[in-house]
Amino acid sequence: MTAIPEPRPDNNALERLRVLISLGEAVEKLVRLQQVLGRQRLFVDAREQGSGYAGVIDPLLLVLNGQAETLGRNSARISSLIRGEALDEEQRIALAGIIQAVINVVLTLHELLVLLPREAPEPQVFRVLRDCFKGEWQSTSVIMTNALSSYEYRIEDVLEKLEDIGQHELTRYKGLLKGFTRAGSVLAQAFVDRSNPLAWPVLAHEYGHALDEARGISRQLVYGSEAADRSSNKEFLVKWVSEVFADFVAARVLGPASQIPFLLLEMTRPSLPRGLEEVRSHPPASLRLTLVREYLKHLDVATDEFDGVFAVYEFDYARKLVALDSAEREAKDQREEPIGTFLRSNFATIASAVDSLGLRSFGQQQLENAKELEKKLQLDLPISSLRYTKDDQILSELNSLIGSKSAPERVYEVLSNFNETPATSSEILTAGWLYKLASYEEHLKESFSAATSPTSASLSGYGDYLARTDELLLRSIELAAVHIAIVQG
Amino acid sequence: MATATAPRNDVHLSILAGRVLTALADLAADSDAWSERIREELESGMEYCQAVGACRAPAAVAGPVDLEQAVRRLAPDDNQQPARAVVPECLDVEGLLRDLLARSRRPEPAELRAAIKFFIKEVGYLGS
Repeated sequence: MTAIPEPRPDNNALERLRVLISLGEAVEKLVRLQQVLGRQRLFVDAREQGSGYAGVIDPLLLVLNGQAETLGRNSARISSLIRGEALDEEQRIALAGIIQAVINVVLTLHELLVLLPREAPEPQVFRVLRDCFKGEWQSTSVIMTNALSSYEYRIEDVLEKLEDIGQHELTRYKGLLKGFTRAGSVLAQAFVDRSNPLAWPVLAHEYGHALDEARGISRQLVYGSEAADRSSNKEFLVKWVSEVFADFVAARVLGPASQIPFLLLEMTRPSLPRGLEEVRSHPPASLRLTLVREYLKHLDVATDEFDGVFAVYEFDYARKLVALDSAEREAKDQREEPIGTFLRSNFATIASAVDSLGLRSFGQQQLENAKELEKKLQLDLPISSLRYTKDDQILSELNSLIGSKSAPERVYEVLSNFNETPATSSEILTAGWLYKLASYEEHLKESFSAATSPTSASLSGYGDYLARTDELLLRSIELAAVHIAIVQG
Repeated sequence: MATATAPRNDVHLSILAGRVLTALADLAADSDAWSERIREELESGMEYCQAVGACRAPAAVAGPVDLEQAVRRLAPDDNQQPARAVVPECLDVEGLLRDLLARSRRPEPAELRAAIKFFIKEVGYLGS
């Protein structure tokens, strides 16, 4: 049965966090889009003054600036929310609606970026994927695209999504591509996530699909020795299993942080998908999270640091369920129960299939390392490596040599304790998420400081925070790769 | 694909809703609040109501129409009933906004609450 959240003090705290997370997503998507368009504007101006592209970029920027202004107009209310001050009911629900409206606008505008020249993905994307997938990684393209068609792993699926938005002519190109797609996968990444390594776990999920499809793992699991029939109802089971398989792959290589981008995306949806819309292709998102958490337990990875976000997501899901009418909710329960039973009964088989892949597994040690790395991020330092011997210990050993009659070689022995080890991509991304979850609220507070002005916000301040976090993570990934190359000679 | 495709709301309506909600929240905090910005934002709300009212008329909710039906609708008989008569909630909110713009009366808290709930539902937000 559906658990309906009741108005309790802890629910008020969850509601506040839920709105804060939505606000963080709205501001982040908005400023990242502004950055993408700003880069495009520079590019266009540098190449050709008065180029026609400016005619596409400028109206989009204008709308985004309007949304920034709307948030700024509400800065006193937002500031109160962040500070945990009481807002009356009307202002509280109006504010949540305003944030949702901004998210709706920004996500829709993102779709229009397909009108602009494409940028190449950051090279660090490939470093992360190679590091996570080890011997299982086959050279795969990553293309930048709109949000609707992003996070697909086959060019056919990208084209299918474009058909959804009216590009019907593409059907014949799908036919042409049939032969090509056998040769490999194409991972599609949203423009807005180009420089944001914290969004890249989604690519690990998509590459999990590519591995699955290449080996027919989910299909084999559903059909067994029976011949596959692509027109049968079992194809739904294949889709559901493949999603859980890909979720487990992402969790195995990146740990609990692999789930955060999905959950934030789900939380920006104003409501739950109605009818059969979701289950045609995906198991219910809440069930997926439950299964991934069980899988992380199976990997002996604690999720304590991320349980707060999981709780907010579950609260958000529960309140969206409440908003469905009772008939729809009952139908949803009836639909989802057998899906849950089916997937739970296959949990061990799916987990075993993922475990048998030659992936770099995320374990509790990686989580502990990530916590250490997060401390360096707080000091605004890159996190490309870990040192197991502490500064204090090295200093004390060096001090003990002062005035002693030790041989000079002894100094080098002590200095050999500068035993820096390159961090893995999964540790860097996890540390990044730990840092972000611990710091975004403070930066939102600064951006919406009512003391400065009740009707304006410094969204560029939040943009600077995001850009600096991106920069530190990108450099860390790059430096870790250089470090490994040096160590390996 | 990582997740099911999210439905996309009409971008222009969301822009208008964000604006009018801001004005209504200001008025909920202080029913005497007034500024040029509030006036513009309330006008956005009027535009919203007119757009929503029009697009939810019976002809529009009936689904796609062929050319013949479309041409038939141009005939005077099919245009007799005002399209927005079927959206009373929308009309109530539009009436409130009109009064607020005319500054003919002070809004009641319950009216503002109803209007806010109307717009948040429209942007897909579920309310409290």
